Amino acid sequence: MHWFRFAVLVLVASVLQASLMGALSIIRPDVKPDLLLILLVFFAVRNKPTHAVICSFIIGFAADLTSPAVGLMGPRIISFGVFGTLLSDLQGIISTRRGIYQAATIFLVGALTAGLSYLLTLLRAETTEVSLAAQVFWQPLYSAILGPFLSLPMAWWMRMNRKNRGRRAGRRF
Amino acid sequence: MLFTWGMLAGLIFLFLVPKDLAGQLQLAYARAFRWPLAAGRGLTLASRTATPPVQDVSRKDHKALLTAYGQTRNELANLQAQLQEAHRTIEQLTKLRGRPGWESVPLRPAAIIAPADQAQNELIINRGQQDDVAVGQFVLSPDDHGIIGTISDVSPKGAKVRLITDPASKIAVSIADLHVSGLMEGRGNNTARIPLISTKHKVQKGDPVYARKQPGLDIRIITARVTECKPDADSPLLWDIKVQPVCDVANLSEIAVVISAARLPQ
Repeated sequence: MHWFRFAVLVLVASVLQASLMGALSIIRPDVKPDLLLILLVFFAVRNKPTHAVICSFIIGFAADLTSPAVGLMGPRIISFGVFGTLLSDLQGIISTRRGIYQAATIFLVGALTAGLSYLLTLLRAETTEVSLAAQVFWQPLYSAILGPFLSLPMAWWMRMNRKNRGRRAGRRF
Repeated sequence: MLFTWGMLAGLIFLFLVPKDLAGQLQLAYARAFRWPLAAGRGLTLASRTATPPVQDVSRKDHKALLTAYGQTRNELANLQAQLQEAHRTIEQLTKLRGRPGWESVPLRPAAIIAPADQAQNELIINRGQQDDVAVGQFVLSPDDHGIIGTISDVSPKGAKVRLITDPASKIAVSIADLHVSGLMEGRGNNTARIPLISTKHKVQKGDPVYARKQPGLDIRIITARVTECKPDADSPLLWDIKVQPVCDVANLSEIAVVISAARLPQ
């Protein structure tokens, strides 16, 4: 795991998420792809479980930092951490080789993290301004459509080529 | 173990970290990456301006809102034009009144609507009886500070200006510092003449010609300059004085009326 590359990737993704993703919004301003969710799924399914857990919490922290809810941190750290760890544990069961499976995973994890974040937010703040439907359905759907296309450049940047990993694994075992 | 620590960190952030501190952390992030964030948001705003999203508004409401928006924009443009006009008027008046002796001259700025005739001996302006404009009042150029004519006809919202070069124009004038007065008569072709001035007065080419004072107008205002001065062919004891207005009327778009007591045309 290249931690420096990971840090750069998370920072770039969080900055893009907070600024440029609004340009890609459709139907309503809050329906936009969630780059950090795509990163979460990418690292959770491609890393060792230990690294996957660390990555999930760090990405959750970045998601909370860029959250539009000012003064509220924690919901995404917890939800990203929980579902990132769970996804990492299910690596053997879920296959993400095909784009459609990757998309389905992103959609499912996105819906679950958004739902949990929403509930945790309600614990701290009495009301939330976000639309539940947009957060739980439309945004994960949009991210799921975009996610598979981003996995290739992310894998290139993180030097996580499957072929290389397979060769290394072959050598190891 | 790592998961537990992560969860603990999340719960601390959620329940124990005060909102102010969490907000400061978010602000610190925003401050640290303000340049890329600002650039990205600028791009986002630009893309939204190009195709404004319509949210939670029915098509009918959207159309009505667009119509109202268009009307408001037009009204705003009109108001801005009026404001600009008012500023220009104030600027002109300030410029005129800033000159020594002009402080007490009652002026009414007006715009030239159209020349009244082909020969440009008359003008129509957008001020009338409602603005205290009356027949016989002097009309001057705000830029050249010279009299260009007098009001010859007036209606409630408009007036006709007879230029000093109009053949029907007759204005009482004095020449330079000489104690002599006469009547300046228009001749057309952007010239006028002053007859019946005795040759004993030393009138020279280039001498200024002033309009005589009026009730309410305590200063002399230049109106023309002597362009030719020679003894009259029929009466050698009198000058044949030709004059030319000091103002270029063809390039004027705005004038000012001296709101003095009305004077009957002579």
